[in-house]
Amino acid sequence: MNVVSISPGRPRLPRWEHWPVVAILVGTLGVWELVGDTNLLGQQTVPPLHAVISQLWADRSLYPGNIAATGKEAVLGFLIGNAIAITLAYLFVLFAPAERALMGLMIALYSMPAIAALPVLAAAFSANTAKVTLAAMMVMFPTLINTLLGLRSVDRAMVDVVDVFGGNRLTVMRRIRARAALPYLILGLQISAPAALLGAVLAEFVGGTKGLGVFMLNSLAQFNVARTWGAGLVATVLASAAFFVFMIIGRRIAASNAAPVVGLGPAMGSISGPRWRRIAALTAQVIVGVAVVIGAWYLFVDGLGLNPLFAKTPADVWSIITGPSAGRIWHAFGQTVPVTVAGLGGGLLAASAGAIVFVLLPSMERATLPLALVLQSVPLAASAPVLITIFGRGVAVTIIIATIVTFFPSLVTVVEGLRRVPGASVDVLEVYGASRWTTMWRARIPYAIPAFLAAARLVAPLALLGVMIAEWLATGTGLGGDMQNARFLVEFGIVWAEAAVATAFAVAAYLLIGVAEAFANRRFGLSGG
Amino acid sequence: MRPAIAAAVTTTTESQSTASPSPGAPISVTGVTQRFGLKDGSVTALDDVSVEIPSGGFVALVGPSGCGKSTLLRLIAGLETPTSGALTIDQSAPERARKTGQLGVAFQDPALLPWRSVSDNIRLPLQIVAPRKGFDVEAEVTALVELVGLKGFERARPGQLSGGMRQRVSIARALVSHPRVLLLDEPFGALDQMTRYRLNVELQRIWTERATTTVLVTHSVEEAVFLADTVVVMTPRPGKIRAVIDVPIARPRDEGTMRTDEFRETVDQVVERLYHTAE
Repeated sequence: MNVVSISPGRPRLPRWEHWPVVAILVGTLGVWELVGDTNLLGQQTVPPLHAVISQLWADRSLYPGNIAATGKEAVLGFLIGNAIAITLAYLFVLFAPAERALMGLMIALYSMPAIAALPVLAAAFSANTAKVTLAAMMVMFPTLINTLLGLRSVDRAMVDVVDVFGGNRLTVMRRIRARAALPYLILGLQISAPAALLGAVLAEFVGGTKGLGVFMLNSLAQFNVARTWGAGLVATVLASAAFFVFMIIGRRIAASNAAPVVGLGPAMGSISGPRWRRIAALTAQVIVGVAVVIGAWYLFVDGLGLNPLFAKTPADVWSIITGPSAGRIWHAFGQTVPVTVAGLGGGLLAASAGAIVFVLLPSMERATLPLALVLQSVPLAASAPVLITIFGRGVAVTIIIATIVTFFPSLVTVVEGLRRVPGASVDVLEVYGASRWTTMWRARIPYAIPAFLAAARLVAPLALLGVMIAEWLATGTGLGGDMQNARFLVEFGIVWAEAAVATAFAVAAYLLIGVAEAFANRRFGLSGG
Repeated sequence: MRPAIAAAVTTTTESQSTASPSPGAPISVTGVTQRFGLKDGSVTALDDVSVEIPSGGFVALVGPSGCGKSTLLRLIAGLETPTSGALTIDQSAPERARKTGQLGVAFQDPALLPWRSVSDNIRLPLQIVAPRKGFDVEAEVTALVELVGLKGFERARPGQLSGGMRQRVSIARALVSHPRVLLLDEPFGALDQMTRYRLNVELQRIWTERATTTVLVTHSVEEAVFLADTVVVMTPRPGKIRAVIDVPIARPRDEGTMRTDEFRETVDQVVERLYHTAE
């Protein structure tokens, strides 16, 4: 990648060579073909490459309609979600109380597993609106936090200069912040474009007659493994294309090589001061957040006048959680949580090890990081059915999906964190003859701890989503499986209660990791004293 | 305060003989050219530069921004390799001096590790370059903390210090390993004038005692003349050596030195060569 920062006065790195990437890609395809031909992983698991291609060719007339249906939902959701996210980011920067009031809700919407959101949306909207809404929900958060980060990336001194010349907050916003935020905004779009596709495909899993999601699920039910893989491949290509389009735009726009590579929005509003003040402020933020979420929930159910048979209020859900069905819900919860934690932990550890190897051996990284970037953008909805064909329908598949969902975004983020060490610090270590490993151990790893935690925070909801998708598609256990059962048996109270429990868990994980991250930021001094 | 510092530096000098094989390594720069590739064409940062610095010598590089003085320093540190020409430290490649822990460095950017305290930052080089047997690391760190006037701040983190204090930590870190070659890139830039003078005097004294070969990049002509045996005046685009001026002032130098006619004359001489460049 040519986004490595080059400290001034260092000779330019040699031009990035594409051949190692091509070699690894060709190698991967070759291994795929061989594994498929020899049935190495068992019958009907990995179809050989040529079978997938010939199935794709046979299905060539089926794809355009399905792609168009999914694409329409994804694009609409992408536009609406980003419009909301960008507006909110501007509002938050101009008017801080808005952020304190709404950030909790945004975190809850991000953390809410899409699979849990779907039945809730289906209760309120027509099938098409629900799909677009889900796609919009998936894109809002990445764009919001990255745009916020960009709007705030402006030097205090730059703002002072405009102030001195008599500019007001709007001048600062227009002349400085908006421009400074551009690379970050593009980065947000780069992350959110595949997310929109994921939202649309997931929505089709749950209901509908057309689209890639429906097509994929039907092929899974028909044991047409080659078709499942083909559809997964098509979804992957679409997601990667969207990702790369924004990546190229971002490269064009970024005037300097200071452009961000991965988005790590701040954990929470930067609160400074003595410990008790930070704790008090955080508590207040959580209370306000919970209150706003509950308010928005009531507004959603009562304001839209939803049928109480399908839509449940917080009070309804509370009575279900504390009522006779409590045992069933907590049983499912108890199945989902350990698997999520295991997948998240495994994915993070593997990603950190991979990132360290990449930074120690840059040639290795040049060869494989572009592929990691692509794989990062593979929608879960595309990979989950494919992984089910390989690993079957046991608990293992849920852990594997959670690990993979965690691995790629974390890898990219931790690599960036390890690289963030100021050039002068590395120079000082090098002058004393430090080896690469010493530099890694003494400087890079500590500098990367906040990035590691940011990655954990951002992927934790994805790990839960991955587990629930797998439970719902494959194992039938846990919250994902039980929600599906409840839906089938028209137990809408259980569906809402389990959606609420899953969301509360994801939000709690997000906040806990966020607190650890804020601590690490202070401890490792990246945000000053 | 004074006697305390004197005592501390005495300890320092005693352990010197055990810390490095011999004081001061000679540096030789012969016909060095350094080009950087930019997007459009290339920039010549240094053009055929030669300098000889004897063992234990003190050379100051002065010149306007962009004259390649920092580049020259980075080349001597072995952080970059020249496009053409040769550099040696003690008759071998800078790489070797670097790998064997003979260099000490302080940049304009203090480059402190934000999670380490003042003491732990100063200690860093000794965790990379293993100190010789009998070298009292703790005493050395304590002495240096005192030397740079940060007593009482040993446990503070960089984020809690002012810019000037951070720079003083970085200067202390440069001295802790008793390097044979000390490379200083504008390390006093962010200091107030008083602290700057005081540290100039202290650095001069330490250098006299240790006879470390020193290369200092600075914008201050007074500082260059006060500290160095030889002032090298450089010109930009492409970076070349315009003049090499010997400083005839006897050592030890102290606060009084700056008021002598000799000092003023040498400063004027350097300034004249610098301004001549601008025409």
